[in-house]
Amino acid sequence: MELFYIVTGALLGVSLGIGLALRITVTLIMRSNDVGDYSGTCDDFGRGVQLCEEKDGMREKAAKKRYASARRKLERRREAVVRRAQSRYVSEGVQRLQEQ
Amino acid sequence: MAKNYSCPSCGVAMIFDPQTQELHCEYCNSSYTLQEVREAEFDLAETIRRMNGNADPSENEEEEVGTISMRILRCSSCGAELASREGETSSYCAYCGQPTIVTERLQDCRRPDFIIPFKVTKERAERLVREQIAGGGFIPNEIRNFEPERICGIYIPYWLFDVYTSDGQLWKYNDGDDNTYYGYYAADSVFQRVTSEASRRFNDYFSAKLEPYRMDEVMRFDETYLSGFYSDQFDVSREEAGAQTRLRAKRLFSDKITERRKAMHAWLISSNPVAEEFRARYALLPVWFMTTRYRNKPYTVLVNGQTGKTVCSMPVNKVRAYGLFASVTAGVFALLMLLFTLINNKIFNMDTNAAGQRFVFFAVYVPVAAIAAVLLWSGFSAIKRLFRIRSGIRVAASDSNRDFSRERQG
Repeated sequence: MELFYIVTGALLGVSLGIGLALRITVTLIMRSNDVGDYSGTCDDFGRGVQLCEEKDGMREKAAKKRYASARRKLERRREAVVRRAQSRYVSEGVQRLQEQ
Repeated sequence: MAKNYSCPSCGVAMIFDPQTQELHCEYCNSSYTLQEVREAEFDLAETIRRMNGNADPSENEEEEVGTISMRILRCSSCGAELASREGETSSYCAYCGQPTIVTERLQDCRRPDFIIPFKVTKERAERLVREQIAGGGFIPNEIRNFEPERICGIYIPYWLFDVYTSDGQLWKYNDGDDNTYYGYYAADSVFQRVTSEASRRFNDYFSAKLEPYRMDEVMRFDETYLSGFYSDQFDVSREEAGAQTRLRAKRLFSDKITERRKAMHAWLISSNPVAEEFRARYALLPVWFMTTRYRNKPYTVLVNGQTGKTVCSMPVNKVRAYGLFASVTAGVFALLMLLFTLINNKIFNMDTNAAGQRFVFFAVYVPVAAIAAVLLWSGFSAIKRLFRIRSGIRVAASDSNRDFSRERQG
């Protein structure tokens, strides 16, 4: 029986040791040799996220209805923003050509 | 024809100095602002025009609107092409690091809309890489004493997109008393100047790491900034880059609003992410390329020419890595064996029968086994990250850069 205890303990010790050693070694190698990780967030570009609508604590039917209406509102906003930006883009281009 | 910015004092070609943001003549050591150079050029052109008796300055205008004439250097080994203004010469390829014969031709290139001029000098870039590499405990000693074989500044082509992104999410959650509630969230954003690298030859692994660039320092393109540097040309179309940027914008946006949903421990029922890019500008962004050699293989290290961010994937000193792994394993094993011996002695000295001792034993060891299983699993999943390092090293080794270029060019 004692041998069983010793073997179990040794197996656990080796497993813990290998697991911990792998984690530590890989983390340190990543930090030392693979430099410059960057994944980016949306706050890196422009003003970040603008909230239009948010509501919770609703029943299913009411929530789906309000959600559909919010999506339509978003679609109208998208059309307006893109139209405005494109017309500004065109006028900037014309101005630049005139300058040249 | 490509313009050569000559020193107004001695006539030698000047180069752009990132430190002073002026054009510098290395021959007579004088510096001129961009405005001064343009005024001097205008005076010269005016004098020539008067001497020729030419009344209309536009008659001498040779450049087409929207293009600039550049000298194209083509590497005969990997096929990479880099553009340079008159005055810059090269006997090696910045991409594959080989001292290959370089052929040249003149070509009209699309004029970029914007540029971020080099802010980091060559000396500072080298110092930054040295500091970075010196602190890397697992980098081989031969590389830690970093001696770059070559350093060159290259403007990498990027598309800058303005993207409209929106998403509406519907979710449900429990309040803890088995009551189900629903909520929704609708938001949008205009992302400005989202970068999309536009050169197939430049590896995406590196270009993603070089970011972010500070877009508030972007300037209208001026050829003067190219003096003393190379520039790559775009070969990824606006449409192709636009599709990638839409995906990127959707991901960034969705990451942001998913944070909110997760905070409520809610399940997503419906989502409708939309991204539309409505403006694209062509820009050149600065990168320092450095090549160092290890065991006869060239490795490339990059530095963001604006922010000084260093990007590299260096080979691993295997002796140190295995040494650390073995010593941590042995240390933890020895410590635990000592602990287990003490616990076992306690258990066997307990005043109870064999069944009771067995019960205590399992009560102690089952949680330890669970911790060991979790650690082992996370340790082996860390190995996946080691494979990522390996692929990064393969990219950094310029030989594979050369293969990459070959593949791209069919």
